[in-house]
Amino acid sequence: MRNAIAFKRYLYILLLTGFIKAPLAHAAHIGLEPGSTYATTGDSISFDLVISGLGNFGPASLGAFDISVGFDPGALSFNSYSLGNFLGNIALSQALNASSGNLGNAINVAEVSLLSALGLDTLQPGTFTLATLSFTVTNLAMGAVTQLSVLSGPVLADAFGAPLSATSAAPASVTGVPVPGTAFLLIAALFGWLTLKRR
Amino acid sequence: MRHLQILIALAMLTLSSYSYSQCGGPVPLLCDADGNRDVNMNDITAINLAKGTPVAPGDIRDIDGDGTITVLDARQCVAYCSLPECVDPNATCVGTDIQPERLFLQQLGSDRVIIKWRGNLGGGAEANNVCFGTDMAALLQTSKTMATVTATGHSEVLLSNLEADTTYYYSVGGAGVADTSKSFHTAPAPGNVPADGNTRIWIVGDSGTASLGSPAAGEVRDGFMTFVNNHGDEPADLFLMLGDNAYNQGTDLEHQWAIFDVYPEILATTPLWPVIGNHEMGRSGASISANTNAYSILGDGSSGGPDPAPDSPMPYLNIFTLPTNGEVGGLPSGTEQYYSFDYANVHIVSLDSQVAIRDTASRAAMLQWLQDDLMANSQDWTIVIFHHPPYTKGSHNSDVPLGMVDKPIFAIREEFTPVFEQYGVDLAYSGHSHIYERSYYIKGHTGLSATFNPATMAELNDLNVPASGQGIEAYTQISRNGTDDKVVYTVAGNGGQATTLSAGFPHPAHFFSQLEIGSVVIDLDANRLEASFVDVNGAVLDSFVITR
Repeated sequence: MRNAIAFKRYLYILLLTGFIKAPLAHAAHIGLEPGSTYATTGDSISFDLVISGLGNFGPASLGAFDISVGFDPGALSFNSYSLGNFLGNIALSQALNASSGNLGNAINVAEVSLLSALGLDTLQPGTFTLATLSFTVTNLAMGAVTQLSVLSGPVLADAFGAPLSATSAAPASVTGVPVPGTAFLLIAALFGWLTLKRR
Repeated sequence: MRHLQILIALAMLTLSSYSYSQCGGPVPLLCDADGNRDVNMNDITAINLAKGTPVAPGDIRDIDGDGTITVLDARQCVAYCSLPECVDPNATCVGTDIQPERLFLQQLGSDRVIIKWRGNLGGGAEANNVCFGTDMAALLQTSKTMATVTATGHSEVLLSNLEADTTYYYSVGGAGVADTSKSFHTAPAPGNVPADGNTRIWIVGDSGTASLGSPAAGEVRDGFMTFVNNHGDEPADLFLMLGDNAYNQGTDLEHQWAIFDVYPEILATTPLWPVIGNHEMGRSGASISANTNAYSILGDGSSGGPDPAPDSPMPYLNIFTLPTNGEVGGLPSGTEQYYSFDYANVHIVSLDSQVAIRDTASRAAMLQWLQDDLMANSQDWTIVIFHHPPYTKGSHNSDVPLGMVDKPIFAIREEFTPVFEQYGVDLAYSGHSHIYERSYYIKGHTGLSATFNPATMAELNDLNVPASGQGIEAYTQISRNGTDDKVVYTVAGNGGQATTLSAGFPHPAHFFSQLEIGSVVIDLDANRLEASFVDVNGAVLDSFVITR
C-alpha cells in the first residue's frame, strides 16, 4: 500500500515536471454538418464546422482554432466562409479572423479570441459552430460522391493558449442526384414502361 | 501541466529579453510584434499574419517556444495585452468631451451618419475624433473614429454599419460617456415605418435672420419645441431648411450666427437637409452666381474681400456635406446642389432653384435627374423642397418676374410642377416669400394666378368647390379621378420674418395664407400624412391631411 502511494507521488512529480506527457483533460471533436447531403450540379451547399467535447458554458473553452477542410475542386467550387460568434464578435473586435481562406483544394479557417477566459466560458455551449463553408456543386454525376474532410493537424487552443487535442469526424459526403427535369423524365419513362407491360 | 510548460517557456523568453537589454538596446516586450511598447490587437493580428512561419529561438512572437508561429501563440499573447480585450490605447475612448462651436449631423440613413463640427467653445484644442455607442454610460471602447478635416477647418466623421432605427450616443473628443444632447436615431430600413410609428419632419424657410439681429428664428424654434411638448414629446426626425438660411449673404460667419447659434441642440441630434436660397450667394441676395469676392463679411466679422472659403466660392457648399451619389437612397445627382434621400417610407428631393436652374443646360440636367429619380422612387410618400415658390402673393409675387432674382419662380412653375404631378409627388415646400401660404390639392397650374381654374385644377369636395384637406375633406393620395397627380404646394418662407403682401393676395390656388412667422411640422406613417403650420406659441394655425 505504502509502495503504491509512493508510486503515485512519483508519477505526480513526473507529470508536474513534464517528464510524462499527461493526457489532456479535454479532447474536442470536430465535424462537418450535415454529414451527408444530396445535390446536383449547380446547387449551392453549405457545411457547418462544428466542435463539441469542451466545456458547456464553463471550462475548458476554446480560445483559438486553425483548421483546414479539404474538398475536391473538380466537383465543388468554394464560395465563401463565415466565422461563428462563439469566440467573440469580430465586428466588435472581440475576436480576430486569422483564416487563410481558399487554398485551392482546402479551406482554412482560423480565429483568435480576444475575450477573457471567463468571457469565453459564458459564451460557449457544449457544441457550437466554428464556421460555415459554402460551395457550389460544379461537376457531380448522378450517384457520384465527393467528400469534404477536416485535414489532419487542426490547431485548437484553450482559453489560455494551451493546445487542445482533437478528433475529427468521418468526412462529409455529397452524393450526386439527377436534376429535377431528368428525374421527371425517368419517372415518366418508368411509368410508361410499367403501363405498357401491364397491357 | 501544459500551463507549467508554457510558464517555463515564458521564463526562458523573458530571460532572453533581459539579456538583450543588457547589450544596451531597448527591452523587447513579449508579444509586442510591432515594437511600439504596447501589446494590443494590432500585435495579435501581426502574429496571426505570421501564422505557420518558422522562427528562431527567442522570437517574441513565438511565446510557446515551439519554433513556429501559430494561433496558440496569438491566443497566449492575449494575456499580455495592456488593456482588456486587447484594445488599442490609441483607439480607446478615454478622452474628454468638448463642445464645438458648431456641431451638426448630415446624411443620416438607416446605417450611417456624418457628424461634423468646428471649433471648441471651451477655448482649447479642437477635437479630432468621435466615440459612439448605444449605451450612453459606456460608449464602445473601440469606437474612436478619427475625423477628416476640410479646407475650411470642419472636422467630419462618417459612422457606418449602424443598426437601423436605433438610438446612438456620441462624444466629440474621445470621451467614453455621452448624454442625450449628443445623440442620433438612425432611420428605419428604407420603406419601413419607424418603431415608434411616426416620422416627424420640421421645416423652416428663410430662417436666417438671426445674423441680422432678429430674434424671430429663435421664437419660431421655441414654438416648434412647444408643439413637440404638446404632441407626444416626439422630436423631429428630420430638419429641412428651405434656403436663405443665413442672411444676408450666406457667409461662413452668417451661417454661424443664423444656424449654429440658433439651433445647437436640434442640430446635434437631428440631421439637417438644406436647399440653396438666393441669400446664400453673396451681395445681399442679388447675385445669381456665387462669387468669392461677393461676400463682404469675413469669417472674423470684418468686412470686405473674399470669404475665407478656399475650397469653394460658396460657404453653403463648404459647410454642408450633402449626398451626391445616392448615399442615403435616391438617384445619384453628382452634385451637392441638388440631391434626394430616403427616410423610412418617405422620399425627399432637394432641388437647386437658385444656381442650377438659371443655366439652360444645368436646368435640363436637373430636370432629367428629377424625372429619373422620381421614376425610380417607390416610397409611400414623396416631398420636394426648393427655394423659389411657384405660387405666392407674399413678399414676392409669382406673377411678376422681379428681375433675375425671381426668374426661377417661372421655371419651377412651368417646367418642374408638371413633373411633380406626373410622378406622384405629394407635397412641395418652398420659401423665398416671407409668408405662410398653402395651396389646395392641385395639378396643371403652370400659368399666372389669373389662369387658376379650381374646377379643373383642384381636388373638389362633394359641393364641387376646392377641398380644404381638413376633416371630411382630407385628401387622398389617389385623387377622385383615380390617379396620383395632385400636389399640395406650401410657401413657408416665414421661418425668420413675415414681411409684406403682394398685389392680388391671396393667391387663388391657396386655401390658407397668413402673414405670420412660424414653421411646418409633418407627421406621417404608412397611411396618413398630416402637415401643420405652427406659430411661435406652438399653436397649429393650419393643417391638412392626406391618406393613402
